[in-house]
Amino acid sequence: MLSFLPPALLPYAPILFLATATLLLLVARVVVKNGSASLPMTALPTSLIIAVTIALVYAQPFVNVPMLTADAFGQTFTLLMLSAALCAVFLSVAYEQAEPTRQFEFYILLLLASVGMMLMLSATDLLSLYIGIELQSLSLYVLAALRRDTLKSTEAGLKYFVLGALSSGLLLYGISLVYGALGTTDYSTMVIASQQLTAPSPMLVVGIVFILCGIAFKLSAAPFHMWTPDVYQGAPTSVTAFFAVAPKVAAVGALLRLLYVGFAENADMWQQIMIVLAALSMLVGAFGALRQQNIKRLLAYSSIGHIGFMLMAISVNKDAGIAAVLFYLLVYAVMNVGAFGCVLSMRKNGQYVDSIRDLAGVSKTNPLFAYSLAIFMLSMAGIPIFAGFLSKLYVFQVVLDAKLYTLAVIGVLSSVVAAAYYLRVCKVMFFDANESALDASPCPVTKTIVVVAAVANTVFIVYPAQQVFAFCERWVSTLQ
Amino acid sequence: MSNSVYIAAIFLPLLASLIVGLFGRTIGVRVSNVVSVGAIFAAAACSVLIFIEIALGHQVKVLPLMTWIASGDFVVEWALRFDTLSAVMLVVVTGVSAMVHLYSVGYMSHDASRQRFMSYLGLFTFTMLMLVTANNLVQLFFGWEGVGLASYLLIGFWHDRDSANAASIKAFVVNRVGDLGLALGVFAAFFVFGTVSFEGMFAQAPEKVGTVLIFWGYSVPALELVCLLLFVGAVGKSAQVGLHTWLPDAMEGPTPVSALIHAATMVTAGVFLMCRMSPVLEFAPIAGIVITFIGAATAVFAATVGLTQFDIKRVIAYSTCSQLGYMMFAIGISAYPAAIFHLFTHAFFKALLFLGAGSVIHGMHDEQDMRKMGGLRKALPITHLLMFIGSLALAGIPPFAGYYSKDMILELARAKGTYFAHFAMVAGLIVVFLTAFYSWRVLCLTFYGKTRADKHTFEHAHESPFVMLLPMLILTVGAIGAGYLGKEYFIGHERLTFWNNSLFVLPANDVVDAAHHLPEIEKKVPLVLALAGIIFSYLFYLVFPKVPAFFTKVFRFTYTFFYRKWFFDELYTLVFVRGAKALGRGFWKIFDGKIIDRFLPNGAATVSWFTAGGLSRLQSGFVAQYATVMVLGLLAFLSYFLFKTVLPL
Repeated sequence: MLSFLPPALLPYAPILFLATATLLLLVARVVVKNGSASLPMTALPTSLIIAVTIALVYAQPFVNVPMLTADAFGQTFTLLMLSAALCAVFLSVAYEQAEPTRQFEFYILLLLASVGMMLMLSATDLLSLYIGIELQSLSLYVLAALRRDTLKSTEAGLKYFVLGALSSGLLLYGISLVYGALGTTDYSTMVIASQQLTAPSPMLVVGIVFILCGIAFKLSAAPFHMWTPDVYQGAPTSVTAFFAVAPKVAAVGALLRLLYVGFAENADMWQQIMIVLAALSMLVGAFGALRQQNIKRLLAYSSIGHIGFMLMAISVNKDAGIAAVLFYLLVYAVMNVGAFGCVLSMRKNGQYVDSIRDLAGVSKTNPLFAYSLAIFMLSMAGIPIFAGFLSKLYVFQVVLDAKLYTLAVIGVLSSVVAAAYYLRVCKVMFFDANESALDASPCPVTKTIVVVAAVANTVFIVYPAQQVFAFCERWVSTLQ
Repeated sequence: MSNSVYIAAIFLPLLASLIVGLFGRTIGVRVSNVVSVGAIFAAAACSVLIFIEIALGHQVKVLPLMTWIASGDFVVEWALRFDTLSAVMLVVVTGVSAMVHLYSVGYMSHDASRQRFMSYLGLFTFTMLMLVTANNLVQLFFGWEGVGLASYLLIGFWHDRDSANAASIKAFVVNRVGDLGLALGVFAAFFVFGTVSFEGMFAQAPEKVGTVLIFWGYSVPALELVCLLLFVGAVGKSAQVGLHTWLPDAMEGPTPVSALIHAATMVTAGVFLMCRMSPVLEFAPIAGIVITFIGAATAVFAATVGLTQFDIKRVIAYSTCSQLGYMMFAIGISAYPAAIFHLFTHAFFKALLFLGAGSVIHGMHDEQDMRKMGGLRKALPITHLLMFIGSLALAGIPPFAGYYSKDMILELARAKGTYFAHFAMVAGLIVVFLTAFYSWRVLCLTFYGKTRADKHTFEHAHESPFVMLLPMLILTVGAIGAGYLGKEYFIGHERLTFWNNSLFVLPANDVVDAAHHLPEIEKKVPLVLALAGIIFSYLFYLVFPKVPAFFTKVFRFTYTFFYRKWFFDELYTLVFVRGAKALGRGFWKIFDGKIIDRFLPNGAATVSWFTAGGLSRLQSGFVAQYATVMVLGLLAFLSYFLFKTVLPL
């Protein structure tokens, strides 16, 4: 299907398509100035572009070229990331339409960020990884500040940018140190160079620490998480919904390849970093959200906690651990798409609201909404029978098998604490006195996504949990 | 006959209970009543069919349902066991239950939560049936606890009354003591026999005679220990002296409940259990002596208290207690068939008396105190007649049911000839007199003489509706005919083929034939005593109404002693209840509240809350601070790894 391309360009085909189509859409949107009324006319081509990219990724032959690879591992991640982006587009339509400014740039930036993330996921070189991260980050900074006329959004964008610049600096500095120590930035040659080292190299150690700290920022792992609550809350909700899933998928995918392929020889070291990051993230995710009154802020801490769980599984440094991460990530994606679908349906008298207090008693007035959100909250808290329970269970299993008992205890305790705030949301919805009803969700697309996600979370344990387990195990074996 | 009949007899009440309990409000009162009563009548019909096939057809049938527990050597099956013993119990339970269901339709017609009541009755019936058809001790324990639960729920049915709540809790707690004994008994049985299934235990019983068991540091004969522990359970459930205190208080429940649970069925579970265990009990002579003694003591004790009570239901409750004493000492002297026979006849006439009392209470608008009754014969003629027949049966006047069963027990005690049997017989004879006396006391105070009720109540006293009278009539038929019709099968010449080894009596212990050949004059003694009791009662309460007052004055101490129920409640309050309450309060208020709650859940919550507050303060919103935290994190990692890798060099 792509035979007309020169072989050297083949692995780039989906990325090239996405980038070109994005630029064309930008030009078209600038030239055709028929105002804001046709915002859906941007959403539609955007989703089409993503859909075609998905098809291209699916059809892509597996080859390695300098700095990039097209392999099954990256392909699956890319598909997951693009699907998450597509869901974000669907969820955003109603929200963006209701905003007075109606900025079509949202979609352009979302597509550009996706290009960056595709690069991250297929990078086999520290430099291409850096380029991918930068392309993604720059788009995200602007997305966060998209409502340039509101204080919160601009503040969020600025904070994100300043801190992001710092983390990019760390990343780049780390890359240069690793290059200095090993003389290469290519993953596979890095491994060989590490093997040939006769003595432990402090330069390499410092380089790895810097790189991992930089990536930890992108993952919003504690103590590099500080931007997350502010940006989640300040950014427009549609942007937050995008932030919560796709960039996390990309960062986890890139991190897995970097650690298990590039730094395979330094596992002892990064394992310790991952353990500390995991423990801190789980604790921050649990305690940070306890007093939050804003659902977006709460979900920000929740995502920090979930990243902690994934890092905990990564730190096991075994195939089973990666499988657990992948499983967790899949469940996380579905839970968060659903939860943000709910947040994007929170409107009162036509105004979008994001305070937990606004949910008081909605189980009476908006039962479908209340039950769906309750399912996501219970699932995130890891309560059986929901999907989140299985993913946590799987992680704990591999962590206990690896005898990381302290970490497992921290994980259990923090999920107990976290359950308190998840359950508080349920309590507010089901037991508090009703103040005023939420508007009936006007967008059937959002509603469909929420209901599908809720049902998927509920029946997951019966079907297809088993198949997904098997799938994740196959998926791990494609990482090389 | 197909197995479905057997299954239906047991599970129909459960089904009805679930339907009425879960959907009672939706389907309404009328449909609920139809479902409950219909199901129980169907179950009763099935039980009769089962009785014909099993008891009269001399069969044994075990229906395995599923495996419940399989853990190493310990295997417990759900299985329904049908032999003559359980067939008899089936008929009694479903029969009386059906009558009580029907009666309740009328009796509870003014109650707001009739569906709940019907649902509990169904639940009770189901668990009682599970108890009597159990094929092993663990399944029996399930039914045992199930009837305990149903009894608790029904005693406290009117949960807006403090006295009902207190009574239900009392019943539950006192039964806990007995149930602990039963549980230990089951453990001991498994320890001794390596199985809890009845067949397995019974087959091994003869060879385990010499076995000893270490219990609390003493070596005790294993079979004696098993039987005595099980008997502790029976003492609790069958309200034998010592653990009887809950039964009179249980009268706080609606009267149909008293008739079904606290007279005819549940309280006889202890008797049933000991009879079921007869193949083991026969090899435990000391346990037999203990049972004889406790049973006889209960019979006397309860009868003396019954003499003095004024609450019509309490008198009948103590009467029940006393009759259960008869059954128990019959078991103690190996007269299991006689015990079950008395259980069988007693179920009819005691349920009848309770339903009659309920009819009086209903007609008198919830008045239970006999001091405020009298002269009700005119207002409640049918109730009077039926209660009169019931009392004849209870007193043991031929040809009514109680005569055959009670006389048989006394004759067997006479024929047995041992020291304890004689003691029991003397006690039994005293009780015959007392029983007749208090029965007629009830009749005289309630139905005869001048009324002591206030004018309004008396004029509005009315006979009960047909739906309440009909079950009483049917029970009356049983109270009249059950003894005469059953005697050949239960205790007569047919007994061996009838029981078909479901009750086991060592040939040496079997004195039925000797009892049949006692001198006629000795056989007449109980009847004479009963008639004397009736005559004395008439004289005391109708002819010379001043005499009782005179007696209470002269024998003030004895009277108070009886009236206050031998001070059991006061004693228990002093010895157990106060200490337990103080201990409980201490654990609750101080240990749990001030220590556990304060430091663990509340303490952890407070710490979490302040940790969260600290994190929020850290989250100040200042970019510089965020960057500082990031850099500090980076530096921490760097320092750690540099120290680790560089310093050793």
